[in-house]
Order: sequence, then structure tokens, then C-alpha cells
Amino acid sequence: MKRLLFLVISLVLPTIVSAQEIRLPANLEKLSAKAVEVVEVNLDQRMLQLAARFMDPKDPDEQQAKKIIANLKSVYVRSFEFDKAGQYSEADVAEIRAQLQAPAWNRIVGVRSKREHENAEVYIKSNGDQITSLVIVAADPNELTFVSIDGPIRPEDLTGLGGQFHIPEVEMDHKAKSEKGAAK
Amino acid sequence: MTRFEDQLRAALQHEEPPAGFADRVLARAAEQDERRERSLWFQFRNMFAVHRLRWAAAAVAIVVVASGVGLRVEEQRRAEGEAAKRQVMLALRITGEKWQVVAKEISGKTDTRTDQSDRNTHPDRENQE
Amino acid sequence: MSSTSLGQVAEVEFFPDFPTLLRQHQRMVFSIALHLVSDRMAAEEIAQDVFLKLHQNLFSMKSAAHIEFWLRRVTVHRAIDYGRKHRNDPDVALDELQMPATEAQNSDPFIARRLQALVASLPEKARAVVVLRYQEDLMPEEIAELLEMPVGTVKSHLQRSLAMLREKLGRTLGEAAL
Repeated sequence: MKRLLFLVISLVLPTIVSAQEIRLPANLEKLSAKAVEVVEVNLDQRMLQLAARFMDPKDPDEQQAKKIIANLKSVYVRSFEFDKAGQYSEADVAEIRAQLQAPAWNRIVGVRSKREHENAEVYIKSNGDQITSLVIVAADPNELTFVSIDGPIRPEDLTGLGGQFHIPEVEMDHKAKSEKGAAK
Repeated sequence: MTRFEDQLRAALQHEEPPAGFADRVLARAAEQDERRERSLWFQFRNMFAVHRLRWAAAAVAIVVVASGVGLRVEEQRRAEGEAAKRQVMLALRITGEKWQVVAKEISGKTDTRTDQSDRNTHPDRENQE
Repeated sequence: MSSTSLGQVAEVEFFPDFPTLLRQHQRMVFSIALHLVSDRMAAEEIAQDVFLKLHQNLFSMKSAAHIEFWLRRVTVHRAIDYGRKHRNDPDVALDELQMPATEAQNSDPFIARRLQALVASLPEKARAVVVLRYQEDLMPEEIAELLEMPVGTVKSHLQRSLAMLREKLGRTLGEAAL
């Protein structure tokens, strides 16, 4: 799986792109009124650097987080949780997806999980070999989440979040797992 | 603006909320902060070494702000920094969760393809051909 | 404000202080809720919820103007939602509604109370438009942005509502009152 993801990413990385902002449409803000829980994270570079200064040097998870955010310019999250299905429509998501159709962005993965009842798409911008921006759009019947990360980030940083932050690690194929273990 | 509109404006002028409104809101806000601290870090407590005194200090700092007394600049900066750190951990947790949805699904599809290729080279099949 | 940029970096440091914001805006939020739901207890409940939501989302606020816009919008939405949830509550006669307690300044108090009751009888969207125009002094374009409706619709609501309010007040008081 890891090899497949890296293969997909490496095929699209050579594209040179220009910077564009993703604008959160006003109609999404009205979802706050319907949601039972809203998570909103807005961290610009200043706040990320401030957070990094407060990461506990003795805490391995906080140190890992500090490494991930070290060169990021911003992290934005909007997550709306509803008490029942049908509280948002495709139109609510369409405006963001439309912006991600711009040439700057590449949709590297889109999955529709019947098991988890969740759809998730990953879009990236890149500069040569490096991912420079990442957007995740995740929609399930009761929850809608957008994650936008601006700055250099590596897929292994995200995969590495599994097992930390109380997230069960995904079973990868045994060869990749043993390579990872050997690297440690 | 007509006289009628003046009368309408006068009828709709701002009203004072009931006495004690601000105090009630501040008290609920402090409770909200406490609940949020417990809820977020309850999940992470096995993973993170949380120094109780630091969180007690953060909770006290929040209550001090809520009571309107105000914080010294240094304490306010610390509160802001800790809050920013919590936001980072929350953002990374959510990002990781959503990334795992993708990873899990692809992992499942990759396993299916691997199973099919194994079947094609099964010894029994080879013997039959 | 029609959209929030996910990629915007704040140019100026903005550290909103919640208690100060509460003191600054409590009358506005409470009054919007009160003039929309005509029930002091419900208005306080709505206003409390709005400020708690502000407290939760304080870090996402970009400026004082953003906060004011946000407060008005969330309060209106909450009040409209409240109205819809309680639509089937037993009808209350206009003169029994828990109307605002303070006397309007520079105005005949009887006319003020009558107008408050008449505004309360407007359909919810029209009521919101009238409150935002005459309580908050917002222009139709600002109201349109806040309520996410076309400017033409806002103006139409204003025109029809004013005509209806004048006519009903006139019937109550006689033409001399206008």
C-alpha cells in the first residue's frame, strides 16, 4: 500500500505549480448552526511556531508533531459533525472541490469506503519532488471534514501518525513493515 | 428617514440582558474549557506525559481570564502557546484519522489483488494445465 | 464577509479577549435574539449559546469586524431555528408576548411596544431583515450577505414589511400617530 501511494505521488510530483489559496465558501459556515460539534483549527505560521516552542522535549509524540509542523506555513481544519445524515449536501462540498480542479492541484487519491461509510479524497500541490500543499476532503453521512496543510509535508509523516495520537496503525504489507522496523 | 422609520428604530433599540448574564456566560465558558481539556487529553493521556501542575496552571489561567481579572503578558503568552499546541495536536489527530481512511481502503484493495495473483500460480492449477 | 480564506495569514496580531467581547456585544446579541423570538428567557438562552460558541471559536476570529458579523449571523440563525422548533407551541396573543422591558427613548412607549409586537408577527425572514435594518443599521447589501439572500429579496422584504407595519399601526392608533 505504501509503495502504491508513493508510486502515485511520484508520478504527479514533477508538475511545477503556482500558489493558490483555497477559500472556504460562506455556505459552509452555516453548517455550524446545524452541527452538533464543530472543530475549527486555524494555525498560521506564527501560531505553528509558537506551538512548536511549547512542545514538551521529553514527550516523543509532541516532538514528532514538532518535526511535522517545523516548516509548515499553515494548518486549517474544519470538521462538522451532525446528529443525523442529510444535514449537508453535495453542493456544500462542490465549491471547494471546484477550486481543487485548478491546474495547481492534483487529486492523487479518492476512496469510497462502504465499510466505513466514508468518502475521502486527497489533493496535493507539488514543486519538483516535494509536496507543498495538501488538502483532504472527507465526507461521511454524519461528518464533513476539510484539512488544508500548506508547506512541505511527506506522506510518511502522515502514515507515521498511525500508532501515535491514539490512532490504530493500518496493517501494511509485511515487507514494508519489516523495512520500517529495521529503519528504527 | 421617515418619522415612522424613526419610531421603528426607537422601538428596536438595544436592550440590556437580564442581570448577571455576563457572569453566567463566563462561568459556562470556564466549564466548557475544563470539559474540553478533560475530553481531549483523556484520549491522549496514555500517550502523552501530562504534567498535572502545568494543566492546573492552564486551567487557573483560563479561570482568571474568565473572571475578568486579566493575565500578565507572560502568562497570556503561555496560555496562547499551550492553546496553539492543543490545536496542533487536534489537527494532526484529525489529519491522521482521515489519512488512515484512505490508507486502509487502499491497503484492502492491494491485498485483494495480491490474493488473486497468488491463486494464478497455485500448484494445483499448474498441475491441471 | 462572503468567504473565509483557508490560506490567509493574519497581517496584524489579533488577540481577542473574551470577557471584553462579551461586555461589548452582549446588548446587541441579546437584543437581536429578543426581537426575533419575543421571549426574554429564550433570548437569554440563545445569547448564552452564541457567546459560548464564540468562546469555542475565538482563535478563528480575524478582526473585530469579523466578530461582529459572526455574532449577528449566528444569533439570527439560532433565533430562526428556535422559532422553527417552537412553531407548534400554543399561540400567544400579541399583547401577551414577553416584550422588551425597557422603555424606548425619545419615543411614545405605547407606539414602541405596539411596533415591537407587530415586528414579532412578521414572517421569520422578514422579521430578521427588519431587525437587522432598524436595530443594527445594516444596509441591504450587508443584510443580504449576512442572511445569504439576494439584495433584491432583502429590499422586497423591507418594502412589504414597512407597508404592513405602517398599515397595522395606523389601524391601531389612527392616522394621527404616523
